[in-house]
Amino acid sequence: MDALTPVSVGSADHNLVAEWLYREAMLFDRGDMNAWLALVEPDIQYRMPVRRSATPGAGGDFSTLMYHFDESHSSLTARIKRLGTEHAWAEQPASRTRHLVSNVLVHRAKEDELHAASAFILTRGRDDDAIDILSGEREDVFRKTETGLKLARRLILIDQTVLKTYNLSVFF
Amino acid sequence: MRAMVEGTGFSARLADGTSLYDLVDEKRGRISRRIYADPEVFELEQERLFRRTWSFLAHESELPEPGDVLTRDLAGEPVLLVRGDDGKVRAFLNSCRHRGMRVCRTDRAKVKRFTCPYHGWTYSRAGALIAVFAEDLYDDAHLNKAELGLVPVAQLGSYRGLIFGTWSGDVPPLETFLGNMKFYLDLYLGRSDAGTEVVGVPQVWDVDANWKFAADNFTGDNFHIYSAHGSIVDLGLLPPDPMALSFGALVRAEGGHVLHFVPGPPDPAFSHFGVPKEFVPHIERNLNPAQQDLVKRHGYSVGTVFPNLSFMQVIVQGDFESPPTPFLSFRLWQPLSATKTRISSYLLIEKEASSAYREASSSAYVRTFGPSGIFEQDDMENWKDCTRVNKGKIAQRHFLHHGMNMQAPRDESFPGPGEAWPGSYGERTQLAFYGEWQRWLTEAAPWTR
Amino acid sequence: MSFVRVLSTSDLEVGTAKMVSVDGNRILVVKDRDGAVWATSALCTHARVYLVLPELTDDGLIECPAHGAMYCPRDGSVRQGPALTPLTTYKTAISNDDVLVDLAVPVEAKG
Repeated sequence: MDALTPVSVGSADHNLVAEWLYREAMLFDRGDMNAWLALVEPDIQYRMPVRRSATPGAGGDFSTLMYHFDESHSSLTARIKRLGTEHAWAEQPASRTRHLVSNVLVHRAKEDELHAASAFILTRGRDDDAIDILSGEREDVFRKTETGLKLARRLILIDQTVLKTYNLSVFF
Repeated sequence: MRAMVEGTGFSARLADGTSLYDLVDEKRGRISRRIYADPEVFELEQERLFRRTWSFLAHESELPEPGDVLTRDLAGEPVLLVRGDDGKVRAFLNSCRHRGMRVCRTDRAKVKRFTCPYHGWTYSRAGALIAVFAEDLYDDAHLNKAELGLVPVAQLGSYRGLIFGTWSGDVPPLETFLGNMKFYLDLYLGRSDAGTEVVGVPQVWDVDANWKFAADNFTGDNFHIYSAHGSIVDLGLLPPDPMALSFGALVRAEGGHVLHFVPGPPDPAFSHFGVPKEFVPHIERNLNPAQQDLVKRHGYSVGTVFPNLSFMQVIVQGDFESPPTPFLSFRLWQPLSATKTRISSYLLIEKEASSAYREASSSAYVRTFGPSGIFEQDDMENWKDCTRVNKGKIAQRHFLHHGMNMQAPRDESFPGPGEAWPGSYGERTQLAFYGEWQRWLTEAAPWTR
Repeated sequence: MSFVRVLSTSDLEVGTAKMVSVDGNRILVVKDRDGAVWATSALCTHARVYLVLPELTDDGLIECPAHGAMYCPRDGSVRQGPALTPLTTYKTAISNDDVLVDLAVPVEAKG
């Protein structure tokens, strides 16, 4: 495994990642999912492991076998295409989301590969319901390509064991 | 009109005088909207159904070793399941006998014993009270540890890896309660030599919907697919003909245990529920001829083990590259209130599954069902909205209508036990479920037929 | 010296502990992995819980069921917390098939 060297906040590569994440949040919140898909590598692995509380020695909180999201480029494409049909009832009308991203810390793994950890709060409202709040952390692997920074791996570490929102029809 | 339920001390009426016998009219296919939203009905359900029936708690594969613990819920009260040193699984009210605190407060644990955080009372893996703080300050008249072990559930039973418990000492044993449903559970859980195991852990999420919409949907609501999951048809991942999935059979195994079968297209990939062909010899070894016939001829089977454990054996594509892939899921719909339900969804697979089958089945399941599933997302939306509207007093004046395909005669040639009707589009199995539900609210011993 | 018979030697298997009552006092009688017999007080000095576990640990120690404190049966010393105070120990003797304990002379624990 390559050694990871820290990338300081405010440096060019840190800004590159942070700006990517902010732009991503805006694309999510504005529902511009096709633009988001263009920022993602063809071999993307996008996962959110299920979290269950456990005592020490009972396997750790995050499952290594079951996920809330376990996506490839093709399945992300299917999800996004589905939202564009007239029959995606869970998102018609669309949820109103606000992705707040912060605590961005970046490490360089290789010349053209950056690893980033970030924290998020996602608020989600529909209809006249109370807003659901989800929070967590993301561990991302980015590649610098000819067409800009692209997301290759995402691991979403959600803070909830029982999800307090009625579905996950939104993205993290 | 009966005022009291015969043989019991409880009333046959709600507080406003409405008879419980008017909530479900199985013959005319009318269901009262109140049952989905009324807090009084919820309390009656808790008392007369959930505190008396057998409920699913866990799968054996979730606690493989002595000292493994799971915390779950039985009729709204916390229970813990623990595998003892003797290899036996026991289930107890998760509550110290001193002040009531939970002795295990994580979803999973590995313990030598249970020690309560409050005063340190300690229980063995078999639930016995073995240590009390400052024990020498008690004389024998004031402390008998043998009487203060963790409170066991009244009965615990296991069938094909599914562990059920009940607070009732009166309900017949699990095998009797399941009755003919055992024949059908074998098709999903007993078809391979080593049986099934849970993949990882369950996904758990809360939805503002009444649990019965979910249980009812899985009894036999095959005809919601084209409308509710129309987006999947649009993606080309479901056949475009709305009647393509209308074939097969609706089955009432026994009482409220209901299910349906649907054949896939005439393609070998869709026979035997789509499972890898290396399991065909297992199926031939482990199932009887009638069971083998049902598995061979069908691609899909979905049902509900009364009251609130549903299952789905289906073949799906969760993306544009993977071939149609089978998965088996069991899901528990636990009522938190009249209008809120906690869903626990489990993926099961044959213990001998290859890693390729395992990975394919897991990702197909996660992408299509569970909280993010491209199918299941829309079901949540529908159940939530129905529950919301059915709270209204004006709405509650108008019954919900069930009548599809009620005139179809029984299929006497169906190879499985119970009653079967041809075609998988119909509302018969829903009505059977609601009829049984009503019996539990209004009978002293609803398990007698 | 006032030895009291508490058990038969056959009542006590190697690597086990048994709680007995002598004149209203609860005593723990232990047979270690080498077959030697020891006696200690039966109340953990930490939360005063009775030391009811029938088996010694793999290292031959007495373990408290409440919080896992461990004691050496030979001298009552604390080998693992949270207990801080050692157990009182008592002289034992074997006569034919009898296990005898002398309550009158508690042996001072070292450490």
